[in-house]
Amino acid sequence: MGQSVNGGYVSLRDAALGYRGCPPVLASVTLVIREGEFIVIGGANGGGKSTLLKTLAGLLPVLSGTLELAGVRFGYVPQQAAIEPPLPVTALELVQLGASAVFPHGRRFRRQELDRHRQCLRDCEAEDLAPRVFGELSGGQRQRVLMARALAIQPDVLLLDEPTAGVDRVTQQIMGDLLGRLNRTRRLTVVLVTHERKPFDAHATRCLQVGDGVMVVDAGRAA
Amino acid sequence: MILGVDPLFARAFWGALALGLLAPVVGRNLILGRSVMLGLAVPQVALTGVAFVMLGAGLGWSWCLVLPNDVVRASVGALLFTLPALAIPAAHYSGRRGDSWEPTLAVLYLAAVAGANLMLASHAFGKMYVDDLFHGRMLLINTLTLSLLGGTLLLVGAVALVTRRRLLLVLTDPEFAAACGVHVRAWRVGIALMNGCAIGVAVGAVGPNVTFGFLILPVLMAATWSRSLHGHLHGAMIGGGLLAVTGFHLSYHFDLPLGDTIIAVGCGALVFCRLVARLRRRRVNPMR
Repeated sequence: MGQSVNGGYVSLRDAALGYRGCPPVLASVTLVIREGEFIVIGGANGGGKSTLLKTLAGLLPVLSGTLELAGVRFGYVPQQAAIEPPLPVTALELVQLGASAVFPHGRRFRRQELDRHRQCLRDCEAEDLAPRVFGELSGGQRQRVLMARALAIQPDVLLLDEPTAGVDRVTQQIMGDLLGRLNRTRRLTVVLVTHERKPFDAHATRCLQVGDGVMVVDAGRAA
Repeated sequence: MILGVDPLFARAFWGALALGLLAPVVGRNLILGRSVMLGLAVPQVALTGVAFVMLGAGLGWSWCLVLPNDVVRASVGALLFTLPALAIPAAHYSGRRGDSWEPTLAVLYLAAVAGANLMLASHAFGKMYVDDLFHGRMLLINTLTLSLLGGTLLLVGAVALVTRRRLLLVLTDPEFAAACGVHVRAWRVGIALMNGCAIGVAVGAVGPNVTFGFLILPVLMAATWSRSLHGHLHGAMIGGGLLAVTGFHLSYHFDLPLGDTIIAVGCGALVFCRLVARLRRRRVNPMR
């Protein structure tokens, strides 16, 4: 990890967020994300939740204001429906492709690295899915594999876009508990956007709400 | 046995085999990057490049005449048009979901066909050369073309092998790659240039239809039976090799044009593979 910015991993100050050439989706966002936090971002469709997450992940530039990063590594978990490889890819291959993002070209994975990839699947309760074709998995299984892929790059911050979209209530709770455990045991900072705050409430250290172009900090926990 | 009859057959066979074994490496990139239309349009653009250089040679343009023979001219023309046709869209890739190049590619395809025909309207030799390429008359491959084709495909295959994981990551999930700090746009341009070199040289050697057939058919065939990305590549390469050998054999025995025979065999094999895959799925799950 690099030096902290304003006492945290990520600092957004008076930032306007959105797409270049379009009006900002969110204005005047000020937010500091610190080590070990578990932040849940809620809000209606089109309110700017995913825009905020993508800005934090470096996928979108800030339109104005400042975004400072402390040289941390981000593990990004997109919505599972967004990943639909047109050719057969196993869950383990997907994790290994993810790990290659921070791996030198041309070198084969060593035994300990291969073990770590399997450990990431195990941590996400997805080890038995390793040889299965990703496209044939259920929504909840896919989500666990995508989380394992993000863990394979040994991130400091895990960013998740709607991790409970398209999964049933039982699986939602399992996902919530799994993320809570990763947050506690690995001291992993977790930032997620969701419609369903309930599965994550027991683990959240902060809840934010976005909508109408603004962000409300510490929106409180759901009952 | 057949290969000993005439060096023409031997060169055509080795050319087809090189394409069968190595073109799927590029074809897989096109399918994973969801740019099959690009695979269709770009060989046609390459053919327009060949027509352009043939026209230049006919009109006495000095830079075209400097090139030693028609084979080199065809390859240079194909590369001249192919590389920008692939690299410019890649450089302008925004990464925003919903962005589609398909309408642009359709227009590019139309413009390329019309452009090639217009350029060669009053150029009999160039028209004949391009017609031969269009019909995939692989028996016209000479030693220089074969060396150029084999060398380029081997080079592209080696680069793809060394960079395979990062390359596949950028193609399957560019957002994840970008969040990890991978320069996705640079990678896309790199992949486009790599694909462009292979497609350009292949079109200069065997024409657009055969090139597109070898790019796509073995990859689609292997997708029906393979259960992993690793197995898929091996399956596609073996499938491409078998396609070349079978097409060559049938073409020789029934005296059919080699390029068209290979494409016909490939299409038939793809239909067969898909039927078998469907029957197998039904046996596993009768409700489907």
